[in-house]
Amino acid sequence: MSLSLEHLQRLQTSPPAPLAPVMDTIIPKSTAHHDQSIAVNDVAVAYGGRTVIENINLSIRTRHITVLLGPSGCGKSSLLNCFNRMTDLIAHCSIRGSVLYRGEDIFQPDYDVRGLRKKIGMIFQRPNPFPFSIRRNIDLPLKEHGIANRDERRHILETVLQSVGLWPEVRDRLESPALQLSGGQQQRLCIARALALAPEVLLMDEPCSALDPMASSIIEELIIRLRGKYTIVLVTHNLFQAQRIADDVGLFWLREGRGSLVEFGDKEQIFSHSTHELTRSYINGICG
Amino acid sequence: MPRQYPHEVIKHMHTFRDRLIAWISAASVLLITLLFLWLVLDIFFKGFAGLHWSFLTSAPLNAGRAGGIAPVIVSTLLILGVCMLVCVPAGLATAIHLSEYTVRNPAAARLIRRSLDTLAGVPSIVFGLFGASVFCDLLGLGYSILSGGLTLACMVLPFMIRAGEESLRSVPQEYRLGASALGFSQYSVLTGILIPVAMPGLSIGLILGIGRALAETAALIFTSGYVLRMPESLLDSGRTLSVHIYDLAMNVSGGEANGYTSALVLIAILVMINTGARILTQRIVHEVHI
Ligand SMILES: Nc1ncnc2c1ncn2[C@@H]1O[C@H](COP(=O)(O)OP(=O)(O)O)[C@@H](O)[C@H]1O
Ligand SMILES: [Mg+2]
Repeated sequence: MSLSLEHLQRLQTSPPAPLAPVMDTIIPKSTAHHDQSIAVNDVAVAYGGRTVIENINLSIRTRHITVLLGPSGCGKSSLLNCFNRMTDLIAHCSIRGSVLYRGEDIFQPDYDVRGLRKKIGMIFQRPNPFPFSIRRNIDLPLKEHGIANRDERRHILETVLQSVGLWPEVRDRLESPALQLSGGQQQRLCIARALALAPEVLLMDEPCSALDPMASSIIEELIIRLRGKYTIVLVTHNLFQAQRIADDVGLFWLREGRGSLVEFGDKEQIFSHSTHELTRSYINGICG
Repeated sequence: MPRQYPHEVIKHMHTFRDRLIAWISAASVLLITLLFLWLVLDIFFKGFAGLHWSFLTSAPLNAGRAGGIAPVIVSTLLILGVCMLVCVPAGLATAIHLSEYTVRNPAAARLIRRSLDTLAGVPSIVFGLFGASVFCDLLGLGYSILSGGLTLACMVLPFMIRAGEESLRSVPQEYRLGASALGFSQYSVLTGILIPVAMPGLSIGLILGIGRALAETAALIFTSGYVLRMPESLLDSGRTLSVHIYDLAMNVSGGEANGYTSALVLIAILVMINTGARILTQRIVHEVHI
């Protein structure tokens, strides 16, 4: 019950909440606790003893788009997978340091991981709708989280498909296989599926890189429309995409075979005022 | 132009080879279909004359030369039932364990897999001896339908486990990740995603397993015996259709006619069970669109 109400409220708040950036300037960061959604403290990720990324410190602002940028292999996905503990599913993956979600350490032994994943949705690089009907793709997670009422599920289905712009395209074929949709439509269905659970955070791991340019720009516009309603953490290796959609940017780089965070800050700072040599040469297209 | 000559030859060879392959495969399909048709028609023509309703419902007379096969059908279904009652849950559970819960210990999984493959290749007569000594003697079940069914289960399980495991493992990893990222419990990932998606493979494993069990004779002669009476409980001895056919063909002079009719019944039962299994699984997979 509360899920769908909360959900509707969120979807009905009209475009980018203009308050967010203003609040930033009024309230000093340290006291605005709920301005910070995820805090990453000195995190390192290793696979079977091989550390692939370390010394990561950053904080994700609520209802902003944070872009994790950098060439492939520098550990962006590995870091992203920590935020909803997908790392639990990867054999021999170990994490040091702490990740706080709303001030709580998510790697505590008795942390409610299913609850966490309900609040933190994830979109994968390759669209991965289940091989069922479009309706069932949204229905299954709703049922899993206790929404037994059919009308309520139908209502959420329409709302989330509307919000990713898929409703006009699929309203007549909700019972047909999701895998018959085009790649871009599949990816939007996956976003709708995540939105159906009324998450606060969306983690997106290169959500456009398996799509054609057209589909990719539709997804990008969708992400921009979601700004201000959800906290979005997006991984990309595409500098231009980062420049188009980021509020905050973390630039990752490989140093001596290990990924590390070169610089983290808001868009202005990274793209216009960076004093960091590597950042500047990357942005000016000299390396990377 | 001499330079083009080899090229032309290769091109020609290609089309010739292509045609050869197409021809050979078409011919073998035809051959196999014909053989199969011959087999079925042979049994049909030799067995159909004896097929009356009373053949299915009456007891055999004169060691099976006359009368029907009612007790044999009942014993067959009971032995198959015992076997499947063990195989389906145990097989599915083990397959799930092997495919989903051994990620952190691949060496152990490999050992188990190799053992199962070896077991699946062990001749059935060995299972018969094992069943006779363990179920009949050690556990005191005697020559009985229960002993026979359990022995068949031991024989079919390795095969069904491996078939089940393979079909579960062929479900793409991204569905598991996607469902987990949506906060699915492991139980829901299994029942909501993995089993429905793997169902076509699982049902093929089941159908082939049933086929093996119904075809078995060697393992059963030692364990469920070959008594022709109508069984009154699972602890009674009973013979299956395959054993009955074997007996009529080898030990009973003048039993061929009824042997053929029994073979026809066996094929009919097999077809019915397979169709049933397919309809059942199709109903479960109804929503899956690969
Ligand atoms: N499951 C895994 N097991 C072992 N090594 C991995 C695994 N996933 C990623 N890696 C390694 O970790 C490093 C960082 O990978 P990744 O986080 O995917 O980087 P990015 O997303 O920036 O491309 C790479 O060297 C990759 O080979
Ligand atoms: Mg990646």
